[in-house]
Amino acid sequence: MIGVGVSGMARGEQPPLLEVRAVSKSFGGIPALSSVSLSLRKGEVIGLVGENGAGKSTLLKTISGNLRPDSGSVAVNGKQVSLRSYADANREGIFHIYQDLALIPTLTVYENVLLAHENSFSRFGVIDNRALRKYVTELLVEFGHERIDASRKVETYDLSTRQVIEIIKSFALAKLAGVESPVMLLDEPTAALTGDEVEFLMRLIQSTRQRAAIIYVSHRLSEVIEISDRLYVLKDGAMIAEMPAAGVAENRLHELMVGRTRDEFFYREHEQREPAEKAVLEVSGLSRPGSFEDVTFRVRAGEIVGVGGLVGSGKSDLAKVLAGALPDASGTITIDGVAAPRKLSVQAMSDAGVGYLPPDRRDGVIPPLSVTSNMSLARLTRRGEAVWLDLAREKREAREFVDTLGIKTAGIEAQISTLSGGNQQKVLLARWLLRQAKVLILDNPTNGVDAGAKEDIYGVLRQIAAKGVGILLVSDDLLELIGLSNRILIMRAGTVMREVPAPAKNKPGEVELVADMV
Amino acid sequence: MTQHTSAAALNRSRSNPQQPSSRAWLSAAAVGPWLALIVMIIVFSLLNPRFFTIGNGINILQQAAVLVVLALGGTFVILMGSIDLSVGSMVSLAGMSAAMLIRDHGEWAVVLVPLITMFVAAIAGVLFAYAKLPSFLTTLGMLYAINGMTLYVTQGAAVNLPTDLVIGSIFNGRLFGIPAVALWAIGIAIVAIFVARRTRFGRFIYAIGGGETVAKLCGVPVARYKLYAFLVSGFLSGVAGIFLMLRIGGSDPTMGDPMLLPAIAAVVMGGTPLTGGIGGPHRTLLGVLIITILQNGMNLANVNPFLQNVVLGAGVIAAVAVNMDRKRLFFVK
Repeated sequence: MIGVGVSGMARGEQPPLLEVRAVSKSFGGIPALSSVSLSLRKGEVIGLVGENGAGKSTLLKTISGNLRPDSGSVAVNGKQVSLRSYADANREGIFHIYQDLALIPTLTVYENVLLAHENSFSRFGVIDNRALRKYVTELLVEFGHERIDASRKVETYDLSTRQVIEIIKSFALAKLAGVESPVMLLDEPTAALTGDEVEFLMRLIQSTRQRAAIIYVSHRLSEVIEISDRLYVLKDGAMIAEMPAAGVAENRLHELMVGRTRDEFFYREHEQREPAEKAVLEVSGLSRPGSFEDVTFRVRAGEIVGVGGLVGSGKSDLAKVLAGALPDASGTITIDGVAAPRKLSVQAMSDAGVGYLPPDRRDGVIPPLSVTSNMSLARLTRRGEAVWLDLAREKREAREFVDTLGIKTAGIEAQISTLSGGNQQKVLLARWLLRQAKVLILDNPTNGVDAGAKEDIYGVLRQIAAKGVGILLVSDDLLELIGLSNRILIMRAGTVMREVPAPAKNKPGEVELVADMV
Repeated sequence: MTQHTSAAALNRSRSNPQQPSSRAWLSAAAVGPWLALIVMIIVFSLLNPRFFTIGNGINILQQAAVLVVLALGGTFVILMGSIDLSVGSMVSLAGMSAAMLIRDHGEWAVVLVPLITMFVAAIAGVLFAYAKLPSFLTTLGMLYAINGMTLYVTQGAAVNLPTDLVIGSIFNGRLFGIPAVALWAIGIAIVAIFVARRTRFGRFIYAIGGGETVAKLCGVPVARYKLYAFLVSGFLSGVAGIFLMLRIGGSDPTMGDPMLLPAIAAVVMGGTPLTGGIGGPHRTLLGVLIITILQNGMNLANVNPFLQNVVLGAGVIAAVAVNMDRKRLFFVK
């Protein structure tokens, strides 16, 4: 890849606008990027694709100075730069445009565009607002967006207009920094956009590309292929392929992005059992406006049902609704033969026998409390539970679960925050087993834990299933879905596209699943 | 997939370095107050020989009694990560109500006082827990409203008490030389500690302070328990108001107002951070002792009363600096 840059210079052309050379980064000993290289020329759009967790965001953050690489370097215009902060990156003309736009809704367009750069328009510490407004208005005209009023508040504009403002902001700040062509990192720019807005964004990129260089990250492969000149594929933190975008088939990209070998032992597939006939969770015609529509499925006692789909497919919202934590859903939910009340609440659903693990562990653990107190919390909310605490019982139960689930802790009275992520997660599973949950809704239960802890959690999940608890496993990790589930539901844009059987001896492949997700 | 075992080993070694740091933080918060207490006792004993005497010890207990009761109520609110700024004005309200009830209806009417303060606290509690207004502003508003109401009803005048009250001796009497009011305060403290540690209410309050979202996702009726905490605070400010009234022998419409800062300071200095979730009533006892001894010792050492406030204020800031869990600072902004 570096060869491209070198040969370019040999031909007397400019060096690449941005060059990433063998960048590595690891978190807590786990590599997130290993020796990743990439180059980008002026006027070029490159597509960066990869699974969730492949390292795309880490790479972008490294380029934009938000993360410092452990080794390797970043060069702008052939000159190696040391980026200690996002402000440093800005000065070099690098701008990260996030999926949740980083504009302050209550400020005006011009205030947003030049936020933290007012000094260039100040005299004796007094901001010359007229100069700010003029500068921004001129840029808007220059890019053909006169219809955007620089003095209006950002909150009065829709999402796609805000995206235009973000992109103009990159040009404005680049110009201030004396950089002619900015590098723009677009992170999932279309995730929240409608079809028309996507079209609009594509045109915007086409019209500005000659004056910039763009790294485009998206799960929507067709979009990436259409807009990019070249494609880079990241997998497990390594750059495994680079190719011209023209004529690449989506299928081919899928294969490159996934294509790992699954270790049956890791997922304890030999422990997978045929579930009982009795359903512990039956969902019928469940809809929630803006989240998902007409979802129907059942989970039987002892069964693990996987739910796969991209971010925004509605799978996480589905989990939250089943936990009673999201209002406004319609349809019927039956738990162990008993219909859930029409008005869902966490209290009602946990009384009915549903336990929920949120995707972010911070929404699960109460850091200053002990392992014991964290574990008993859900049980204490049960109706009819005494006003007085039975501390002896709490301790007995905590010890029992620490033993059976193999929770590694200094003691049951240790603060839960002193436990590793995987062990915290086991405490949370125990919490719902103590509440006598009949069905567990798990949203990415191995999020952010390392391979060893994952294996541990998988063992615990098999153990729980063997006791007749039904598990709905929502996950972004394809191998985990395939390895653990008896069946897998694939969701896309709020509907269940397909149900894929996954018996122990005949597991589906990743490509097969991905094909229905995107 | 071959790195499972090494990754597991890594995980183990990685979780270890975390522990000393959290322990170090714990110890700073746990040992700090005791250290402050010991240093103060030594310094004040050296400054004035009358400090370290039985007579002064009884003095300190008597002075601490009102503050203990008030601060214990505030502790439950602060444990949730919220704050009750109205406790001082509630004491004034309680003292005024108590004095007027005794004057007009006989001394046993005083039992109505905690009910009155609970009712007022319920207003703040409902606004905070159900209308979801921030506790800081809700109780700041209540502080002014309660103040104004107390001044309006009394027309700003003090209410005096007859000297031959039966309940007066209950609070001012002595048992084995110990002031009865101190024994009452100790009794209330024991109940508060029990409630915090051994009841579902106590546990839920800790859970709300430690992670409100988590508590919600566990099915804890968060709003209801927030209201309960305010009711407890209201009840105890009522009791504290009665105590203060009996100590002074009457009521002044602003007599409780200066107690706001010491009450909150006692909670924080004891080791319950404003972010909530850790600490508790047992720590507040320690905080009250620190503040009372600080005030008593400075009086005996003839420190200018205005400078005493400077020292107290600095002490509060120091305690917050030691106790604040900076990772969670966004809770209080």
